[in-house]
Amino acid sequence: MQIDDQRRLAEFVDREAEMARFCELLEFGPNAKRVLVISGDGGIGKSSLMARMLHECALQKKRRALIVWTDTRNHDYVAVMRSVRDEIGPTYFSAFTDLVNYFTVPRYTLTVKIDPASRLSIAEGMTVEGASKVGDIAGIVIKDSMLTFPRDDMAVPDAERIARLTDAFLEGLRSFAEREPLVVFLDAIEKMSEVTERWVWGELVEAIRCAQLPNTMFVLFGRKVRALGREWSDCSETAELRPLGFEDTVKYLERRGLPEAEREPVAQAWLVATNGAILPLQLATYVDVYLLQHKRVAAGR
Amino acid sequence: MTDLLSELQQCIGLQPSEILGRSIDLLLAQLDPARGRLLRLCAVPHQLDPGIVHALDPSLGADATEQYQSLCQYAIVTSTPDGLALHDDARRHLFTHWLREESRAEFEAVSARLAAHFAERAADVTQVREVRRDRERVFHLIGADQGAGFGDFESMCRAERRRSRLTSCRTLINLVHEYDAVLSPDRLTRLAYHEGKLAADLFEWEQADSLLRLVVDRSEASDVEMAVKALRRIGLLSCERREWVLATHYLERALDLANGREVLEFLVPRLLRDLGVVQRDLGEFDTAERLLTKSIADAERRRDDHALASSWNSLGVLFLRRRDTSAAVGAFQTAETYVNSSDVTIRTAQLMNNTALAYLDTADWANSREYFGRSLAIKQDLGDTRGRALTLGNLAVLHERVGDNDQSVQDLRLSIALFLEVHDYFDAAMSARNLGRLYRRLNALDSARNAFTDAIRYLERGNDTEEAASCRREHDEIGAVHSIPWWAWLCLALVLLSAAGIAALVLIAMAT
Repeated sequence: MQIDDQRRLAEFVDREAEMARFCELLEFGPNAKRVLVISGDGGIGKSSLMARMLHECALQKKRRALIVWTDTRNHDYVAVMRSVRDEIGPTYFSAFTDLVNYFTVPRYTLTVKIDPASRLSIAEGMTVEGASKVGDIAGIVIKDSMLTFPRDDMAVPDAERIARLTDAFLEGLRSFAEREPLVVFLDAIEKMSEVTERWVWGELVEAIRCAQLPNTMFVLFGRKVRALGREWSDCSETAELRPLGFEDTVKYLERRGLPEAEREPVAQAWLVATNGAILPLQLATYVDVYLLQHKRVAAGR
Repeated sequence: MTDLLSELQQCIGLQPSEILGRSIDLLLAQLDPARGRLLRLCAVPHQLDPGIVHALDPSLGADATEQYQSLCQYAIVTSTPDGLALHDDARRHLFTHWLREESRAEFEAVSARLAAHFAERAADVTQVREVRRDRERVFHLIGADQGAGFGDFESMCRAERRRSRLTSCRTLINLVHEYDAVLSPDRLTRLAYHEGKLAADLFEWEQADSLLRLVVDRSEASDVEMAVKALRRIGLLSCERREWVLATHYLERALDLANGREVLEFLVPRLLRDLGVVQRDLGEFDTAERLLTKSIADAERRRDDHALASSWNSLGVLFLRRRDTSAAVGAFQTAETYVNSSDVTIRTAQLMNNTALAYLDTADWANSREYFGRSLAIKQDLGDTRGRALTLGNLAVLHERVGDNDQSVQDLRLSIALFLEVHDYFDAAMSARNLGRLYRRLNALDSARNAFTDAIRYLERGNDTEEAASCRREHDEIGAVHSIPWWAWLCLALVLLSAAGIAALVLIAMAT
């Protein structure tokens, strides 16, 4: 865990309702919702809440995968699937990895063949050329060549690649989740490209709605999230994070080390200044300023 | 305490972003100058690690790692899977500082160091990361040298688009938008053009249309090449939306501008072809033929094989619509000669498919079968499953016409399976519907009903309720033939009895 996450956990206040709901969903009851969408403005504390949820998964020994979109790390559909596979291990994803290599490595031929009747057989037509390497066929582990461009000796349409790779990935994910529950966190989803957003909702999360993925929960965080249609009401719920209230602000100031006498007047002043909408990031930055001032004064003495 | 309270009072009435801005400025003022400068520099890249911190301020030397680690004490610094980064809103506030005139010299120097840093890292790692590092290199190169950086952006955006990596294009465009405040007007226009093309690729018609119109407005007087390209795109968008009058208008405007300009002459045969296709689809066959012939002549003069193949193919389709099948076959075969033999692509397979359709129209079953087979083989080699499914649908028609109904059924079944494999529910439904109709013609009514039920299911899966309703009507009509209610039978019997009675009366009357 990074230092920043430790800080977030130590200073975490409020969001009790969201955490309680998340813990309920983590029990994976028969009628539990499997898609949780959390939205809120920048600086409102989504990352802190997510750090707390990730910590809860660790405490409960629940497997989880985390995908974070940033301005430069803009995962497309293949990157999302590769990230989830890498987080939970390649064992269940041989067919998927094989197919990724097939679509990207020139002259690669498929190693794992999916037979709809018997589900999986391995090492058929095992010819591997080009840059790809097969890892451990006996253990059904295939090494991803990590190429991203479509191979130039084929012309598979993009829609076809998406459909086939998604099927192979979901099959692997389903095999994994049949044995162990899994929570997939998707953070900063407002940064997804249009294509990725369509795929995430239309294929990946859709698999939950169509009951194709047992024991799997998706938790999505974003500044702006799409309005979910009625067809999602049985399997999803949304929560919009609100600014901190007075008491949580006082509690936060306590955790940041402000003297007791100063907490309530500062919280009160914040409520007035922000018209009751205290955003944690702004507050935290002002507290940074305040603590620095104190440090300088103390050093001056 | 007093300072903090008085500062908070000054925030009354401010927007959250302004409050954050004030708090960041206060924070920087509290830090010692070197530390404050470093934090400000951290807003130039999108992420931080010891190597990047060193590139930001090489004078830190071996202290870069320590300085990097100490950054996480500030609330505006957050963690990402790649290390630390400034919170988006904080970075945005500080980045505007770097775009100001007074910061330009330092910003260009820092950007140049970062561009070099990411170029080195892009060359050093696997392809997945290389693309990301290269994007970052391009971003910083724009900061260091706008002309060079923007040129690299355009090359990279085009390359990624050719590879259908639209997410990567979107990321690149978003990154360049960070420089909107300092981009030259012509680069802003070019950026809008790339964004318009991306929107069109994503079928975001409204957005594509408005961006491309903006490009035309901004460039018609200053950058004719850009204007022509944008006008052609709007024309093609209008074709997609079947707005033929608008399409003709924009394509003609583009043609007028391109004519007589040496640098744009390569577009002339393509524009003539686009216009010919519009006229063909409008049913104006004579005008279409004139335009397509002109396009071919123009492309021949320029020895533009690519344009020649496209125009001959379009002319072939026109002949097919006119039922002039031998001319159509000739046109498709001519088109084939212009497709580079070393570059057998989906285009070649489409030409084969069109040729087969032309032979089908002339009842030349052997040639039709031969060309469908060649088309299928190419598509199989190229891995184009959907293309194979489409050709199999056509092949089913051929097999039905020659009376091989079993083979026709098999073609359609395989076609459905292939469409489903690639999640193309609409086309799977269309093949299932064709199968239902075939069964109905063969009087295999239960099988027909099942096929229509499948078609309805696929359409519902693809949320196409209108087509699903139409399929349901066809399904129900089959039922109606076999389940005429008892009262209808009774009425029919009564009518027949009445007719027989009337006939008997007439016969009696005639006999007497």
